Amino acid sequence: MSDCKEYLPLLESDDMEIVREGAFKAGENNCTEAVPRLAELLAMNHLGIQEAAESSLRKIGGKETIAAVMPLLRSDDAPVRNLSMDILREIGHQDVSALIGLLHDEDPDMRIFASDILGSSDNRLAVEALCEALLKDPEVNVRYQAAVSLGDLGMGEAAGCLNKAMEDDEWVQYSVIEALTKIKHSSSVDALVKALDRASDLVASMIIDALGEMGNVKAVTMLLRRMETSPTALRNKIAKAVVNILGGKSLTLLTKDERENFRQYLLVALKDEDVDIQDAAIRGLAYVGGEHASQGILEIASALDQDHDQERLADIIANLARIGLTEALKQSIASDDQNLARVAVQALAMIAERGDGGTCSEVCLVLVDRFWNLGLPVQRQVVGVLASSASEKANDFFVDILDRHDDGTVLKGAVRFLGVKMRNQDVVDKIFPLLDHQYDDVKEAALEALIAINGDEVRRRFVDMSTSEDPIHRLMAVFALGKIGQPGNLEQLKIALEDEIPDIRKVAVEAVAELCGESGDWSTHVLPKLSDENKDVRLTVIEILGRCYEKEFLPHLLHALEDEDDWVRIRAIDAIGEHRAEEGVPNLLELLENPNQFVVMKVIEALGNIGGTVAFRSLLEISDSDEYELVRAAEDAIAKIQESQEK
Amino acid sequence: MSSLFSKTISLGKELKISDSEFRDLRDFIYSQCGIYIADNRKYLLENRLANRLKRLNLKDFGEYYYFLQYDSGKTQELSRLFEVITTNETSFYRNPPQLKVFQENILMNVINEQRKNGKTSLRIWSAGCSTGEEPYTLAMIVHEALKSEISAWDIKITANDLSARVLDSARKGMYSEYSLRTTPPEIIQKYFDSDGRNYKIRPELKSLVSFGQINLKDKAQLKRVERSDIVFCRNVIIYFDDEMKKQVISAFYDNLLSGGYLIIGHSESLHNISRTFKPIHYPGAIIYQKEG
Repeated sequence: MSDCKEYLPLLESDDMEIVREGAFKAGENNCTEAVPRLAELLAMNHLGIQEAAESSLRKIGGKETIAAVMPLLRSDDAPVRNLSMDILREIGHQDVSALIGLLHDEDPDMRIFASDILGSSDNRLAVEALCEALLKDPEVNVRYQAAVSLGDLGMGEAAGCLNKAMEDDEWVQYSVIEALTKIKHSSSVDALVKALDRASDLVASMIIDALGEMGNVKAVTMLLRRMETSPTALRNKIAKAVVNILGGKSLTLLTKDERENFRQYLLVALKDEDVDIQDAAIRGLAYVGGEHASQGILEIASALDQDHDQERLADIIANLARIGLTEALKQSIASDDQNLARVAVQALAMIAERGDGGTCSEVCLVLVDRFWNLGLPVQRQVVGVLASSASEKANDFFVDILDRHDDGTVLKGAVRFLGVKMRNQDVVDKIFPLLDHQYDDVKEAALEALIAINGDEVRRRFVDMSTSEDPIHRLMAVFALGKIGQPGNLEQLKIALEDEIPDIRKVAVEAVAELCGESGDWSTHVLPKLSDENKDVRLTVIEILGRCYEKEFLPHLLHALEDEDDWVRIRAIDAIGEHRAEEGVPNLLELLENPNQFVVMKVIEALGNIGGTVAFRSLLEISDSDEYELVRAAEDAIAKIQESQEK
Repeated sequence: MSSLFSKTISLGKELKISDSEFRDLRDFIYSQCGIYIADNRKYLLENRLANRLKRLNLKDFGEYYYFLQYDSGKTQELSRLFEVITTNETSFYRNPPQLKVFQENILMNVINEQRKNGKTSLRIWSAGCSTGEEPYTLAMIVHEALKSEISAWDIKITANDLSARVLDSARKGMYSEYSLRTTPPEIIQKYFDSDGRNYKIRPELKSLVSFGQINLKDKAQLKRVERSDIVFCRNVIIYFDDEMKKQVISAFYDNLLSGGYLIIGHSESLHNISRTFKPIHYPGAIIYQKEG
């Protein structure tokens, strides 16, 4: 309170900067006594002070603020009225009855403002009062605003009075329809349908939109009946509403004649200017479409922007795929319009993916057949589709690509298909040269493919390569020999463990460890590398000891806790913690004095994983420390121990 | 040699950020600098930070969150993080129509007003100056406006950014041709020394600009900035949520002298952020003025 008294005099200063600062501080300190003065300042013609007063009145809120701000709604100054409205919209729920009282004010403007503010109150008490205003207020704009606010409140209790208000002026009907759309009460469907016959074109159009949004099936019969006699624009809206209510799939349940009629209407709706109508037509045609539909949808897609309309394009592609393989799609992949070609390929990819038994028969034939006539961006896409969906019948096609193409992305697709997917031994000669490709990602794809193909020939070549003068070749060979995972490769890997290049030693450590499931003595080759001069090599050893943990590794992990590199220590701590090696607790406790707080946090985490009396007692001690972060980490670790004991 | 075919070594290792790790990091970043990473940018964050994690040899984003808080190298890493989440896309004479309005209308108004009051001081604040292109551009424009009279004026352009690395680069004042892509040739000729490949800012411009690190989240730091006639803060508030935008714009209001001007990015707006400034519409730019 003393703070508050301190700020009140600031609000009376002649210096506007001091008043602004005082106004902000009054809000920060929730100073209710300042509210009357802040309300006066809100009406002052100084933007900086108004901003501070507004911000603080919002923060302080409460009945006092509402009572102080309400009179400002009568100000002749429009910005002051607007500011007051904004504040009351935010805090009005704190005294709804005061605002309800304003609904009976003599001044219709006050009643409009009160209706508006009550719309943001999220309070059921406001519904009854607004319904009364909607049905009884003599001023049309009050009734209009009451309906808007009932929609904003979105409470089902308002449906009855809103249904009745469909008898009111057209102007009020607009806001009533919007409100009913938001509330979506089932009783409103009848009221809207009843109003449709006597409605103007504009209101009828709004009612149709509303029925579509509300999604109530009982409106469908009436909407379909209305379709026959409606002009094109309204019919398109009805088509959208029906698709929205039924969803595309249920359209297939219509009778054959109804379905054909509806399909024709949807084809017309595709050409509507309204994007929402177009999209609804696309969704409907995906189930009842056909060749014409595919063509029409592709025309829409070709006019879209690949970056800005991504979401819409994705929907269009899914719907085109649902229609299936059409002549229009086949033609489009070879189109000069690259956007259109891209859309067509993506749709074909989806068709191929869901092909029977995972095979891509007709679509793949189309793509293979046209591949060499396509532009490079589309070729890249097509290769991606074929690499994941085509069967062994595409072998020759991909071998041809390896012989004739020079694009990295296309080559990667071919290598992935022939190597990873088909494990085709016959293409080893063609893939090995790609290990010298100028791009790393192509090298990587080739390496992955060769590892997948495996076999004596591949292994022999990698063994040769492991003694190459080129360090990149040695690196790739060591990596591959590890992944191939034959104990017979160990000799080459042992040599690589002593390579002059640290990265190769590191990969060799990983490669030897790949054999950890195969051969029991891998660790004898790796453990000496714990004293490698390079920290990344030592780190890799520790990570592997953690991953392939056995009890006899513990002394090595404990020794690594004294490594000069923090990260080697941290990974050793992780490994000891993960494997709950209780014998390691004393060594871990020594690290609690480490100057690197990250190391300390990791020790606390590890103690929580290990548990046991000593760890628990140490964590209790830490939780009594002055350092907030340590305490929090210790508490988490203690909770973990307790949790594991409860299990 | 650590880059030796690194992709092969990393084959199959993909770092994914979990929802809870994203929330922790997002809240941490917000608490540190006020930059709010919306949910739809989660994968952008994952993508951009994955390299940092690999470089630091961290197992997951949870460990990175720990690292930022507890590691002895956390301060440097925080700077790296800021660089990763902001784009620092800039150039000399960026958005020429806006700068034309600044040169011909705003700056001349301020200079004439000062002259009328017998004063010869000019203070400009470039908040979010990145690698220095904006404050040096402002220095060039001031030179162009005052011509030979400039030596009689007391001019200071305060240039701040969150990232220490970009400030180091700004202080060097050395640029490639790409930074000059929107700069008139006669300006390049006049204010840069070139060795054919790089362009160095001339010392008379450097002396007008004073660089310093600032976190717009830090109210106390903002209060210490000298009061300004003009504040430039272009393409910075886009990184903030509404609450932080309000706080920063309010700080600019407090910093500006009466009648001073605020210039924000041409695609940014104060709508729903602040009503304290009067928007002045010029062809090609909206400038915000504090009441006199």
